Amino acid sequence: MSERHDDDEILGRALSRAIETQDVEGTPYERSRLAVRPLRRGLPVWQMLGAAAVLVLAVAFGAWFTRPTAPVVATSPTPFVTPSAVTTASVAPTATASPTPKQTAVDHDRIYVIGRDGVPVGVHVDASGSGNSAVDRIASRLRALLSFNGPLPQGVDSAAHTALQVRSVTTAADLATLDLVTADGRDPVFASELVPVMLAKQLVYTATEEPGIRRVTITVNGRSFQTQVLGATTWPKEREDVFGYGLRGPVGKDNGISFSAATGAPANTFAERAMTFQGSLARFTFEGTDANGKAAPFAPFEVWMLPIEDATLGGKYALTVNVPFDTNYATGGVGHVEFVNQSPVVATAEGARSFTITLDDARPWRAYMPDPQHLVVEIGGDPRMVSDRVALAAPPHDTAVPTTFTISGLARTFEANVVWRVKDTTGKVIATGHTTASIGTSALWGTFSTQITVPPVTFPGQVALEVYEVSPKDGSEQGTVSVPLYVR
Amino acid sequence: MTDGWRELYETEYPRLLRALLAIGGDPDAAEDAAQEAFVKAHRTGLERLDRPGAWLLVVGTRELLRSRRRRRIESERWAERGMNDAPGTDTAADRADLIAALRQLPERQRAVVVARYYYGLSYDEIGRHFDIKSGTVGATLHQAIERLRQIQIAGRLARGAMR
Repeated sequence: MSERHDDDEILGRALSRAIETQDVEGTPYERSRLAVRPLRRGLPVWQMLGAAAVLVLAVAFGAWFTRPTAPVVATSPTPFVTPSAVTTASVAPTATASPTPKQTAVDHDRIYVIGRDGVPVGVHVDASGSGNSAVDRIASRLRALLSFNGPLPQGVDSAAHTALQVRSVTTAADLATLDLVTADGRDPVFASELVPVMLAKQLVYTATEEPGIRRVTITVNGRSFQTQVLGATTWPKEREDVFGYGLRGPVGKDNGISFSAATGAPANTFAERAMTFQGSLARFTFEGTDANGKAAPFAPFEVWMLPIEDATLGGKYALTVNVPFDTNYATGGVGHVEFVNQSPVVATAEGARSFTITLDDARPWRAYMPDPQHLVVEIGGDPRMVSDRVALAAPPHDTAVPTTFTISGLARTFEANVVWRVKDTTGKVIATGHTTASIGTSALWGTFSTQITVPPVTFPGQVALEVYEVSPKDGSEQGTVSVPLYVR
Repeated sequence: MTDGWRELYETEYPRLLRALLAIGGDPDAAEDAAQEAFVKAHRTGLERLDRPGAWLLVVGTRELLRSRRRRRIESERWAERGMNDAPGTDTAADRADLIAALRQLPERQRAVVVARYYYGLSYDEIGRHFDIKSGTVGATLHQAIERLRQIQIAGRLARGAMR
């Protein structure tokens, strides 16, 4: 026995030496993900969200409205304490909702970095957009991007630590061509396949910050810039080709929604009550109002998104909510304008019966009504948790959960049926079930929240939670959202 | 980004990278998993890691074994590397043999062998971290080493026969 043990030890030590003498090309600390990801710092997100949910439930919804625009919200939080409130609570704002100083114009001194969920986020860099021509301004922003060395806001990351330089920028109509070079003429080597993808996103977004420019072609050392993930398609690309979402938000009035649920005398207008941000998600809450400005059921309304080029409002797309069937129908033009400059929102314009939000890109959006007086529009969100039918709010991507936990979010599925299952690392289904959203087969999304239990999972404790719709046509799975989780 | 993270990275990263390379065989996948392990460690918090080295190995291994796609690429890379390896000194060849032999073990066994002999974890720790019944860690290890030995001998014989 001990002889056998000694033999094993000898071979084991030989193996250890063999492992130690392997040639490896490591990443120095400065370029490690640890060093370039200040966002990973701090509390695990699931804890923060859990705490936020408890807090919000406990104190009703006062905290949810980071920017109440009318006292009515503070004095009457009750409309939101409905079953769907659980969903709303679990997507309460986290530390990423930062106060923005009062802005007076669209900020074009902007470069783009990458949020923790892979979605580009604009950040202000002083004078980065200066120059007398579009070409000069684009080149200026690119130089600011490529030499950018923080500090970064919490929750974002930059891949611009490369040896790339701008050789030239040319534009033709809405296309910008970026000719980048490295000092030694050799193609940049990236530590991970994620880095060139992030860089491509940053370059496309930063170059298209210039009004009128919507598409970008990038060459490096005279050759087309390739990434493993994005390289399959060809240049030029626009923001929606690289923004991280598998789908583009419904674009154009035909793909917008119209809804008329109100019975009795509907309110004749509405007002924005709150704008909150959570990572790549922007959430607007509107309230139907009567002639005295009091809360009232919403009039029939429309929501749609269109591409725009607007010198005042900026942005690449505009999402508009209006109440079109009012007898005094008028879009109201541009009334009160507010410059937000926080991705994805550029500016908002409140008209008499319309509300327009200009946006960085055409990311997916969805609208739901927690009660007849309120309409909530969510724009974006973690792309890994969003499909055309399911938008999961909790639990967050890649977090630890106990064996019993709550899943919640929005769904737009046939007969409101939402199906979920949990798979282990071998792909075996270890738990499955379904729940019902508050509304189904509708232009509006429904909310759902259900508690699920999975059996204890052994090493490595990792599971995939999948939420989807079963097609009424052929039983196929549609709009699957798959979230890795650790069961503790 | 100081408070001990740089120190931890500089002491643990090279070892972790080599361990993951030995387990997986693909340098890029090893790098990716090692980086992710540190990011996860950071998210968890230094004060909550009992033995950061062992923790990083367990989480890094998990990351490494996570993706099937990586596994496919890995075997291709490995085949490539095997062919490119010029027959050097016997010691180097022996080492390459050993690593190649390691790669023929089931993934879980590989990780356990690396944890024991490269990281020097105790049976107890291995049992806990890799969720193996404590009494069977020794047997699992012996079985793995025995197979390593057989594969290694077979490799040596094959090489000898080709000379």
